[in-house]
Amino acid sequence: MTCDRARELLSGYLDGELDPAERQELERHLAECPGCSEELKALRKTVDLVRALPRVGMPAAAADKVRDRLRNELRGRNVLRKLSGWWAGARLASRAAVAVVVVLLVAVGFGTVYSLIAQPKMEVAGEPAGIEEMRLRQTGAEPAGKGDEAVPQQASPSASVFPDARRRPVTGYSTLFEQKIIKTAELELEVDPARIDEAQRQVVALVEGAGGFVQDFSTWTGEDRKEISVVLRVPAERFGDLLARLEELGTTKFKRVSGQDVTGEYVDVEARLRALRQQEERLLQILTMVKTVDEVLKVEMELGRIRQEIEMWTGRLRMLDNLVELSTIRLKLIAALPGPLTEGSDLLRRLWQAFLATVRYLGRLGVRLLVFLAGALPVIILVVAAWGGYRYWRRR
Amino acid sequence: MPLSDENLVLRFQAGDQDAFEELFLRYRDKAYALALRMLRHPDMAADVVQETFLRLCKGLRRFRGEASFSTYLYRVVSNLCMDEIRRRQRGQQVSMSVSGEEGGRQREIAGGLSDPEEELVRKEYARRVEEALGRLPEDYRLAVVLRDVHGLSYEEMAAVMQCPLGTVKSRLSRARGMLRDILTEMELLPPGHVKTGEGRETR
Repeated sequence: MTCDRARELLSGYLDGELDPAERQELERHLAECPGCSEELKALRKTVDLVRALPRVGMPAAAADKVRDRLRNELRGRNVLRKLSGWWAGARLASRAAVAVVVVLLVAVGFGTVYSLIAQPKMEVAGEPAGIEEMRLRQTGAEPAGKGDEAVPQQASPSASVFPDARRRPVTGYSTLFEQKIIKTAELELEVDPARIDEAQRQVVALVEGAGGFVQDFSTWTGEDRKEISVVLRVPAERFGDLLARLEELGTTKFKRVSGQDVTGEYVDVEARLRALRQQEERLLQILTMVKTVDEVLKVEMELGRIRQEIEMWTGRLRMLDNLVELSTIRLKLIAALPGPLTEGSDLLRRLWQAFLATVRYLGRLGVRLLVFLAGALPVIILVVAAWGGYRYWRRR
Repeated sequence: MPLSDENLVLRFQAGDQDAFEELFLRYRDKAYALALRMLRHPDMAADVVQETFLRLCKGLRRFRGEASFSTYLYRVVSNLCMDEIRRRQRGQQVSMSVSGEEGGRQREIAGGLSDPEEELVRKEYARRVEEALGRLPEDYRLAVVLRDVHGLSYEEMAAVMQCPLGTVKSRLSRARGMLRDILTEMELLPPGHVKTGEGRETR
């Protein structure tokens, strides 16, 4: 053993922290090397000097000051504890308020997204969505000006719409990914007032026969007409067929068919989910390795965030799946009633009626406002409670 | 039979305020001693002790006993001291005073009954050793103080200093070597032996 190595070990030797082999070797070296044993002596003396230092205590005045400060802190916590019932309530309320707000936001967001998706895409000529229903564009304006070949907007009723366009825009990935298309139709039919209920029954029968369902149903009766609005969800492959059958129930007043290709988004979301899952796994591995509380907390926080994101994207994927698998048809059956309104020939009477209508309208508006306020009241209470709680917490 | 630290921690977590005060009584002197040797300034050391216990007060709620309470405490104290020292170095606001000069304000717990003259010599001796310690770089000083004053094991030191065991060993070894040189220079150790400069030794 060299002296350099021996001196590195001396400190550990003093503490009895060497392993037996090292210790034996060192002791052998010390026995024959006076320099190193001299060094050991000096080191031992050094350590002894430090160990012999008188123990230092905290000055009483300073200690008392710190103790008082701590008591204050603890008492603050104690008060908090005593108020814990109230506090927990307030906290719960604030959480509930936050949850309500989040739900509202999500609902609004969902609504926006949904309306965006459901919105007819008249310009999506390149998308293979319309398929045979596209011929129904005849009812809309003729996009005659668009002779542009890249956008083959055909309007002739009989032509099956751009059979080549079906392939063209997606050749890149249609072979790799299953195409995801959201199909939506809007249809307004005029029916015989006497047969409107019958027509409604037929609609239900048709949809259920096709393996779909009625998602939403509403009926409205005005002074001069009756309207039945339904939102139908039908399997995508029965979409065209069903639409044609529905049209037979009355005279088509308005029709719009649209398709939205979401393959790109779908693939994106899937890729993102994969990446997130990998990240989650990696974090779980890291979690088994870290030792300190701080690190564990940090990793767990990150993990929570990732999981939340996974949740979110999974939800999005499910929604897309649902929209793709089940096409949406918004159908409105309209029946004109022999209205009494038209016979009012007297000007004064018509004026009076108009006035009354507005008054009634304002009345309804007022009632709606009241109802809305009543509905919002719990939220308002929660928000005020949360705010109060927060203020209280801040002041402390 | 006094309660263990861990027991007190559990009690505090369950809401027993007195348990925390008991922990404070047990550890305030140790915390103070370490902070004083690191910062060499009584007021700052007291501040560190206060800050340490305030942090413990919050941190103990989440404390799950991965390390012993004392290790946790030493770690907070040494981190706070290192932060303070770094702040000082950055700001160059040097207001150190050697602890010995303010010795009158310190309580010496191990007050002996020996005669005054011997007591005086002992005090002077201690003051000079403290001074020698003060000349060590902070991380070396921390190592020596944790080991030889507070009696921590190498494993505990690693946890407090947040470094691997090997680093603890080598740092402590070098720190003691340097302290020995300083003490020799101050004539607290007999001269005559050879310094451990690299390669200057017989082999």
